[in-house]
Amino acid sequence: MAAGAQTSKTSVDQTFSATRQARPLVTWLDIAFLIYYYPLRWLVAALGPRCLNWLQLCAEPVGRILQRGDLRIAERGMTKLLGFAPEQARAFARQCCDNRVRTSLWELLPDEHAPGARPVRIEGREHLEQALKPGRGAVLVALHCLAKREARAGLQRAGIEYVPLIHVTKSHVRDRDPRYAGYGRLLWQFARSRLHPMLWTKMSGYVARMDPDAVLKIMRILRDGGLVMVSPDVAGTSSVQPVQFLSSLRRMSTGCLDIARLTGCPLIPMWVWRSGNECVVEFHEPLRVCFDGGEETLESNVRVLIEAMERQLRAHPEQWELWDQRVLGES
Amino acid sequence: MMDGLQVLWERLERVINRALGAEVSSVELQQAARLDDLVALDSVALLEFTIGVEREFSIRIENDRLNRDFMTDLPALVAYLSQLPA
Repeated sequence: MAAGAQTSKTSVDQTFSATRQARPLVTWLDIAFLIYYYPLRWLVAALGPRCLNWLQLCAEPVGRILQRGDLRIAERGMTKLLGFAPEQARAFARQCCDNRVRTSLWELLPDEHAPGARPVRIEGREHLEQALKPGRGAVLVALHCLAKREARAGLQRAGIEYVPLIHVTKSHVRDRDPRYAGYGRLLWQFARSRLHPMLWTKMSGYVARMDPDAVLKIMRILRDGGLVMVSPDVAGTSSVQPVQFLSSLRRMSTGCLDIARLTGCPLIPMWVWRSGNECVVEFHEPLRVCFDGGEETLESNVRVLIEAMERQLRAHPEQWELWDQRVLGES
Repeated sequence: MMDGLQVLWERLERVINRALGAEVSSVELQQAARLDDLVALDSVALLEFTIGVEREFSIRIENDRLNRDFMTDLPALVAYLSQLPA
């Protein structure tokens, strides 16, 4: 999780400052944000969560047009990797697009309005309670799902609090996150001063993967009987392995297996999806991993982890956040 | 007192070599300021080391000390371990 953090820090800083210097003072994106993003946010805050349903109805057709490139990629991915018929893949890809619109709208909702905005149904809670009985924590294993924010809010309401391990870095903010990529110097300075303190040290309720203390923060949470949520479907940590995922070779994080091995905490698959106007969170039986053997056991544990993720993806392909990523063909 | 400290360094050497698969001596440890000067320490290795120390010394390191800076600062770690009740 913090692999190479120190060695790469200097180069990241250099690249970061070089890019920052090359930015214009104000970009079109800054102006666009002032024109639509912030007013929209204020509007949503004023009208409350109910207005999101109406906004969603209006925004979905526009979203499909704007995301038609991503829609094609998702469709291709579902056909090639999940073996869906083209018609079925198209329907799922469209649902995936609509889900992304919903997620974007959800992001507009200020945190104080988020709880209670969407009902959340919890299934398989007994698996979680059973796993937490011995007094130690558990690691929740979930895919990058579009409904994760509302799921977390709903679980909090139900008394289930977890700390997600998230991948946020300077370069992530600078290059990849569309919310910050095109900022000019003026807005960037504003964003940076608010974001960076939050990213690693002062960020509460999250553990950032690039935080040098990430793994020890996880250890603290687990031994205090807490829950940590990890999403191994991207290669963002030091424990990255090439694995066969969805009939293609991908680099994925398997650090949660190390955490489970060392802390003795169970790995519990958590499925999250939207169904109509509600969000469903389903906990499953702990993964049957074994840490007694050597290399072979490790391979079989990785297989168990991958199979758990594949099952979830096949059940709810329209909920996966990463269909638009160009990394699908990566080997 | 020196003997007690020497024993601590040797136990720490055992933990490092066992948990991290390294081959360092207690003398090298005492000369190094930080653990990551001696061995490559990614996040999993750091966790292995921390849990190894807790098991070896049958202790539970307080939450406010569970950070990379403290765990890799060998003199500080040994000073902390030496203050623990036997």
